[in-house]
Amino acid sequence: MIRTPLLLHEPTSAREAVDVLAEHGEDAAVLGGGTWLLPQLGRGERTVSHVISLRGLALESVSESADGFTIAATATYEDLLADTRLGSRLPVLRDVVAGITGGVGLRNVATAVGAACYANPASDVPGVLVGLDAVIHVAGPDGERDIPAPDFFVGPFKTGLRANEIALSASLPVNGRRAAYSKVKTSAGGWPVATAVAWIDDAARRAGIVVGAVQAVPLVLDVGDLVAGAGLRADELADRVGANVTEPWSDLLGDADYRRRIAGPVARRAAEKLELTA
Amino acid sequence: MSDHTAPTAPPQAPTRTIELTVDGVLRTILIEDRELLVDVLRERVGAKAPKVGCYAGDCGACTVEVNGRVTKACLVLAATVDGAEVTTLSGIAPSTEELDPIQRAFWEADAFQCGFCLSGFVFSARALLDGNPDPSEKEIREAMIGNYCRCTGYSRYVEAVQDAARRRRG
Repeated sequence: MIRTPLLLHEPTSAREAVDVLAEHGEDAAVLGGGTWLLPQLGRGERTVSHVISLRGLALESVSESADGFTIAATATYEDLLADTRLGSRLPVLRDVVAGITGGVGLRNVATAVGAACYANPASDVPGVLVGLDAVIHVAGPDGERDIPAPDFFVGPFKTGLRANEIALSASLPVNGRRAAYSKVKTSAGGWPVATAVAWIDDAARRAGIVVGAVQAVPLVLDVGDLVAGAGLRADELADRVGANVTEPWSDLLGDADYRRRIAGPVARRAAEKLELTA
Repeated sequence: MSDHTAPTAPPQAPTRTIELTVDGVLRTILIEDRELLVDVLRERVGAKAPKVGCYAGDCGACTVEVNGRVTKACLVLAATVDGAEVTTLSGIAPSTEELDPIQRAFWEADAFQCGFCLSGFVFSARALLDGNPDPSEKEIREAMIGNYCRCTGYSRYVEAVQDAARRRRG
């Protein structure tokens, strides 16, 4: 039960949604899937008098172009899993989504863009959006703009959204990169303690690793010099990742020392999966 | 006339009327905007199959189907699903005389004791078997993630889902 009364707003345009948010400011919250917001309101960790649902915007869940995909703020994880175009052109995303904790009853409600806005360091989405070179589209009082994923995640539970801005969608390019995902969680139903997206562009001989959940924001490393055949030199990759975790995140799931030590092995596993995609 | 400003009445909680079809019966319900679907089902509709466990989306006890999609009803504001068709665990049996094959399999495998978690497990099993009629044990265990049972230790759920799969395949 949510402890205090609230008024649900169901605007039918992004402009209207921004206006409602601007009118109520800190006393309003944007409802994407609601899987973070509603429990927070129930526990009294957050109190607002206005909740703004995005469903009335009637955003297209997944739209495809030659360059890639745009997933709406209202697209649930199950919407992404069900989209066969995404599955064939961005198979790594399917791996990510299928491993989201909480089961089908959660994946039918929760959204990837909503998880991005929550920006929990110990979650899948921040590292994945950075690793897949995503851009987040937002609407605000000054109009709409695009935020590259590395600029969107600015701190623990903190995004690059300005006052009264709303994230509407995220674009994921299909850009000739092969990518693979690995993560470690301490129980079947738990949040990730470390995640890694490894990618390689065979034509350009470029490669990168993005490690999530081990620091406040995703760790991005260029590892183009480690390309070897269809994969990456795994030992050097693991060492380099471990050496670059300088300010490890710590929470009940895993302390800082554990995260610092697990980051390299998780990156190695992602790289090993990458080799299988060649 | 007093110089004092009259005390303002406490703000009225925003309310609205929604329609839900719950287990085939159309209901017109007055709710507060802040009410969660699980609370509306239990307290205003009287549908007691979904339970309140964690209110956080962790335990699965409140699971129902909303427009055919398995949903943890503690994660949904009822006001956002006006017009929806909701199926609870009470609504999946073909009749009062006959259980759904998955219910029957859970019953015969002694897969539950108190039954509090049953909505989550049965709806998760249904979603799994709808897409995968012959799942492996690993696939069953993965599909059951997101549901907590504190009675049986889960292994009997696996047996029950395997049995249900056989029944559904005929």
